[in-house]
Amino acid sequence: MSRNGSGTYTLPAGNPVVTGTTISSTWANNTLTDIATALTGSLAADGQTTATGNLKMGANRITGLADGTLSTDATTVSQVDTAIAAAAATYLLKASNLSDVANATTARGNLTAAKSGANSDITSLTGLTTPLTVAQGGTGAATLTANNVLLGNGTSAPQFVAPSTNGNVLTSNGTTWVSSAPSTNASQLAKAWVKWAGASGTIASSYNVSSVTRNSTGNYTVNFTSAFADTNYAIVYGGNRNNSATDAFGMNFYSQATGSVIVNTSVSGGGYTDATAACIVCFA
Amino acid sequence: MAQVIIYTNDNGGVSVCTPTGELSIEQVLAKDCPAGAIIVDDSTLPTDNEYFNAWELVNGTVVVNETKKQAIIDAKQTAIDTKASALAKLAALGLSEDEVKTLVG
Repeated sequence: MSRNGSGTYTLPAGNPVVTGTTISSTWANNTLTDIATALTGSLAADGQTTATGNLKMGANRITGLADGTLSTDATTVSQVDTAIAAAAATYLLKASNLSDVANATTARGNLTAAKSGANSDITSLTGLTTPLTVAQGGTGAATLTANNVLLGNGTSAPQFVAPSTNGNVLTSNGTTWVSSAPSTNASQLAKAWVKWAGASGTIASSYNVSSVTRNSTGNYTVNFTSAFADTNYAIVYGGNRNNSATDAFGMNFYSQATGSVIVNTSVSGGGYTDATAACIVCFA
Repeated sequence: MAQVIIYTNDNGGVSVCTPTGELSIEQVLAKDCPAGAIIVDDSTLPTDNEYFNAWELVNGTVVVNETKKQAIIDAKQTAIDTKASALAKLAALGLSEDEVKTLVG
């Protein structure tokens, strides 16, 4: 072994020699062979020796290095600097905060990122967990109660008015809107009405009238579904014959009872005549 | 086909009661019609309503009493003749029907 494993070379046994020692062929061959073996195991400066192990630089630099050309060559600092500069011109740098992006629109498209501020990039939002506020153009509410009416509430979420009782209407209380029963004077409402065709007896429409009986030409009994409390109810009537604008058509009522009233229809000079359309409306 | 209720009224004619639909026809029969009234399809009634006052209910069927019908026809003709006669008299006096209406109101 010419080297001790740490690179230290020690001459073989018999060395060094003292003055007066006769140099024998045995000593000379043995020593020179050991030196030759050590030299063969060392790197030649002209590069003809291939290293058989990793080079230990001991925190020292390799200086005067030529630029590498093959993928297995060592790279100079100059080559690395050049490569970094080239990469910086092509790729985003974290240190630049994306400010080096030359084409923002294309970059957003590649990143599938939306533009900030006014834009048309955002076409759907599906991941929101907090409702948009009124100020943001939303409602501020996660749900809108079915069939409720929404009331404006400034920048806060809208208030709701439930339908409440069947027949209720929205009513202003001077400040806001509430669902309440309509306030109607019952005497203002018709308690019964009917429109019928005199000859055929066909009922066109009615309310609180159970039937119309044709007793004779131009004579009808109107029967109420629910009788009036007394016979003081008012009757308004009208009709026509042949849908004519000139016939002197007349009507009158008699035998006014709580549950029915008899109506005659006639034309001037023609006696009782069936009405093409006859109507009565009763108030109480 | 609509159903109606028919019965003979106090004048011997036929009354035809047409329900509005607010009550069932059976309820109308009980509430609005006298005993003996019956429910029939209106298709079974005579189609000529002009002579309604000549209708009679015979064994559950409405028929036209030809005697009454003729009386109605005669009465109408008499009314026409009377009016024509009156108009002729007015014309002899140099008056038209409209002028007379204007005078008498």
